[in-house]
Amino acid sequence: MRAVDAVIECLKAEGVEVVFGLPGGANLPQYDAFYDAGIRHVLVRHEAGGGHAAAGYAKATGRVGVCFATSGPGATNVVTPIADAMMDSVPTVFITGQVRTDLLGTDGFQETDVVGITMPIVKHSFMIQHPLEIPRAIHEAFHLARTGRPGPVIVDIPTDLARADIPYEPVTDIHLPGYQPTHDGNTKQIRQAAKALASARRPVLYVGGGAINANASEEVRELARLDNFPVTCTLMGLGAFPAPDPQWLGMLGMHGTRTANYAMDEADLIVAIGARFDDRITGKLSEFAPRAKFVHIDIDPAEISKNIPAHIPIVGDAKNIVAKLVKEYRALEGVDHTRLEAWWERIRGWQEKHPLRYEDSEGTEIKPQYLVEALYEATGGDAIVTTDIGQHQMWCAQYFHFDRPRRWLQSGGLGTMGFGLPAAMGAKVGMPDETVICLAGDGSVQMNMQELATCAQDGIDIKIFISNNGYLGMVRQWQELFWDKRYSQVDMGQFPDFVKLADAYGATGFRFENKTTLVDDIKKAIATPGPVMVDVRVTREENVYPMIAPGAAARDMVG
Amino acid sequence: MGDPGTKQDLLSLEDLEAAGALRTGRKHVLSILVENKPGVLTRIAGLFARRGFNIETLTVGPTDDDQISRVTLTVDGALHPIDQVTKQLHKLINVLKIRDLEPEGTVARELALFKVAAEGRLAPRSCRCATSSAARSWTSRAARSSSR
Ligand SMILES: Cc1ncc(C[n+]2csc(CCOP(=O)(O)OP(=O)(O)O)c2C)c(N)n1
Repeated sequence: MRAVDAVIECLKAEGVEVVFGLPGGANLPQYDAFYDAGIRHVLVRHEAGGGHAAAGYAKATGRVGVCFATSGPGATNVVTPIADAMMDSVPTVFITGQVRTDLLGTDGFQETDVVGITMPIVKHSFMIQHPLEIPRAIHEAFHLARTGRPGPVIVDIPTDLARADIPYEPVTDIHLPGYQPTHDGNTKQIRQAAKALASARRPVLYVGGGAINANASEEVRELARLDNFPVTCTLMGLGAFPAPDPQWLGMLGMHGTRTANYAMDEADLIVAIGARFDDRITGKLSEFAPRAKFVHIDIDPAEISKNIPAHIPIVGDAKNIVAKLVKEYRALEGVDHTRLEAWWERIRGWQEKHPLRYEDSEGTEIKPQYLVEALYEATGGDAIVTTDIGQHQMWCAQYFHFDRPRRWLQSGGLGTMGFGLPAAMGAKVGMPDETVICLAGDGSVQMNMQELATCAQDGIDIKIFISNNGYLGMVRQWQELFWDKRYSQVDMGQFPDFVKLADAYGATGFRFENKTTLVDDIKKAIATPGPVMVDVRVTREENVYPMIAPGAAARDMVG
Repeated sequence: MGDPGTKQDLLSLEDLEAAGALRTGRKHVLSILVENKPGVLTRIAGLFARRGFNIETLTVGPTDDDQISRVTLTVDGALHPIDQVTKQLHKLINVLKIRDLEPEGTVARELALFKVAAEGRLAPRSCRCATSSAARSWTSRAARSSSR
């Protein structure tokens, strides 16, 4: 069969149910194969939208997201989603067309070295040199994308090789000699970690996106319940522990709660589960958690002691390891189960003194924080939520509570404006029975707005709420706080008219400006069939607090 | 370590020592076996560039298995935590095996090739000079014919 038909067979064997993509010259053979392939293909309006949709799909479902693009500009358009998927360890496979082999290296029409361009931002890549390599490369790509620390894998297929006739046999014997991720944690280390936990008087469980990738939420909860351990999550980890909850400290980091950050600051033992001590978490590294010893559980050995030296490193799958840790802890004798009482007293003190708060408006004005609270109330928290990047994202992390994993889909590591809308689209395709909401910024949403056409055409029923402050709000906040209020290039005015735009795209548009009816208005918008885009006019100049100023220490939070 | 729960079950957190991220302060010679696939060297070089690790020296050569090549490189363990360098290298799918050669068990030799423009009578003199300092000398064919 043609190699492109073999690609389809590979996708089917990998259980792929949907592909996001857009055709062009170099992947025309592939699109001929899609014509009657029997795999759903979502025709995006921009390949970046396709890449983020694949990521949204992957984050919501836990399955591999797939995106197809043509050579040259098609391929360079997926560079941002690839980098995004790399930073957040999202299992994705990108299959790009390439110019004919006899044109390679000649600056042929739409030739770019996409494998070269993406080398620093992929888990791995394959440049196909012979048609017989294609099936194995595709299967290896899926294997690499979904196992170990997940990530994006790219397969670049020259168009002449894609047309070649090859025999296809399913590849089941994947053997990559240089790739053997550790699955089981070291038993001795796990036992040591259990003892450390039992000995700690001020412990904190610090949970990141890796716990969600590993589907370890249940195990994390079990661990926390063993002895009333306090839990905080990173932006990426929200949902790995059910919030709200008496043991929940809130998110930590730059815009985390004071309680979570102070607890880290005073902890004597921090158990990191699938978290990587990013600078948005640690603030000033040299003053981060100065009294703590660290247990670090991660599937990627290179994360251990990268930023913070670990005292008890445990490499492996978090689900597996945390389950064993629970068992080891239960088997310990002589554990004083009242030892955390003083710690909790201290924590309760911070919680009472420093709850998350904002000054709500008196009249009809909608504060952006209130918009999030209204969304939470209107949905009862029962929704998959994506956001873009900026203030609205941080408020959503603070005020929308996630009680389950894979309901909060973020571009955390790369912070990609324009992620929210296409990611919501991908999530809805993967989870058609769920309510899928995108809380967008008026700046960010314009970066992948074109996918509203895709949603309208394919009936992908997402609800977009734009927290419209007419500013690149987060940048404005930094200019206010750190640049003397010199608001340089952040005022976006009220362009475009989002309601008319929604209409033009074949979606339904609303504009909400009244706080007193907001919850009901939101319910109405969510109940409206088909894609909906709502322009919510919020207070223009509002700041996200509390905040660890960049480079400052956690205990010096402001606001 | 005994069975769970049988030994002393508490420990003193104070006694826990952090591992890793230490700078050794010496040069490390890493001998890396890689799959002989296109782009492998670029991946290694790119990784070093991106993570800000300096490569001091680098050689690549075949092994007795034509599927596998050997990359030998030197990194300064005073500048970079060597365990972080090797762990990052291990993440490259085409990297099969890394050995950090122990200085005691390693014979290191450096080779320098000097090209001397020595015509006429100078030629035999520079050859003598070389051999007397335990170097070997060759005369290029072009030099031989011109001195004739
Ligand atoms: C692609 C991209 N460009 C620039 C930035 C820098 N940036 C971070 S937040 C932000 C402002 C976002 O504004 P908006 O989407 O309106 O959200 P708001 O902060 O107002 O809620 C910008 C420009 C980014 N994160 N991504």
